[in-house]
Amino acid sequence: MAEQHTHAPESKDGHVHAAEAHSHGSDAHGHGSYLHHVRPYLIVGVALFVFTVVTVGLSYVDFDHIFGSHGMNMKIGLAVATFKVCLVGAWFMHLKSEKRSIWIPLLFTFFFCLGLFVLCLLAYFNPIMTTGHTHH
Amino acid sequence: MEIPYTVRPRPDTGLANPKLGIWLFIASEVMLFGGLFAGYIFMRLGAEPWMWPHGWLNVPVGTFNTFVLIFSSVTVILSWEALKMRNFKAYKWWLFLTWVCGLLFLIIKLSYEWPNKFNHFGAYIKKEAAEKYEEYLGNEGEDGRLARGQAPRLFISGHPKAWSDVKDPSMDKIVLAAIDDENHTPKSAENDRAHFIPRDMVHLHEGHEVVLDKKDLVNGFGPFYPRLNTYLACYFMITGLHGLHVLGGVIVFIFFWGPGSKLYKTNPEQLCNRIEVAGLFWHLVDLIWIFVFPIFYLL
Repeated sequence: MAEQHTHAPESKDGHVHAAEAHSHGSDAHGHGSYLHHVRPYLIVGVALFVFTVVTVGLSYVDFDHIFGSHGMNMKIGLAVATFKVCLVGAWFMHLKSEKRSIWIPLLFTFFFCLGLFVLCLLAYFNPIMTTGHTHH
Repeated sequence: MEIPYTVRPRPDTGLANPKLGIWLFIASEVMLFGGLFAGYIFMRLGAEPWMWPHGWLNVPVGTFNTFVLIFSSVTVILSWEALKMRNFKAYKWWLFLTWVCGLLFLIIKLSYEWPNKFNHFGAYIKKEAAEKYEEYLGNEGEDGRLARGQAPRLFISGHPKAWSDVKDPSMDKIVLAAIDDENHTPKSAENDRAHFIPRDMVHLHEGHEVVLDKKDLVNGFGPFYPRLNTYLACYFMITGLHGLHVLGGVIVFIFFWGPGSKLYKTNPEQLCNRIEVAGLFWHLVDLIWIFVFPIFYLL
């Protein structure tokens, strides 16, 4: 998103000259243009509102009973929350059009964060099987 | 000394320095909250079946606060867009709405939600004394919790007649003047805690005089403070840390809305980048709340 805009001219050291920047005054852009740029954010915002209502609504349904499996409400609730987080990340934080320099550290973060959850689940489910040997 | 690449991308990273910096900070924040959430999952999975509290928080208020944060996420991006279009007036308005929303979120949390917990009393009964309070626990009998295959309820909560009795170590009894639904109709299946419990905002039953002997109570009884149980410890820890982030964001936005906005006259593009960076932080705050809300309020 950010890359689509026309930026004010910058000096070599990365700073913008005030006079040039002012030439991009509000008169240069119409109201319609602004609405065009912000439309995706408004749509995502409305979607987040709607999915918040969906999250609350789903919590009143006993999915554990319906599916006959414990923890279904938790799984469904977290799936909706994850979808909402993806919307925020992709559109509001512009991750859908972001550079590799940002994606790569984030992938590491995701990997290590996932590791934290997996370690917790490993500790809880204790999948390490005993070999059957007895200690003398 | 001028700091280079505050606006223009560095040739090697392809990014302006503040943007790379905030993303690295966001990565560290994800690890911080990821660790807390992982700890929460660990403790929740380890809790005895049917014992994890549900329905202790006010869902309509939590939902409203979620709307407030989402709305502020939209307004911060609108203020950034307005700045990019060099519409200073619109920028100021949207940023004003952003920090007002942040402040509203904090006010609701600190003046209503947290104090509501601090004014509520809870106590775990020692197993050997459970029979004495059976009327309020509902464990025995054909329709009791034990017969329904559930762990015994050992928790009584409500409002004490006098908080001084709770705090004064020389007093050996606490009188509850009102008790919660779970203890009022303890054998009702609606009060089982396998899931989220949808119920009215006020579920306190007055007109009861429940006398609790302090020697029957597990140490740690008192207001709904973090020390009362794991759920409250997690709730206050995570929402408290999240609240500090909201406060940090509000302070930054107030600065850029007030004195910091003077930068627009000399270097609007740099101000624009600052708002973008602050906005990224704000979206992270929103993003964390999107997980906090369902796990504590609804699931």
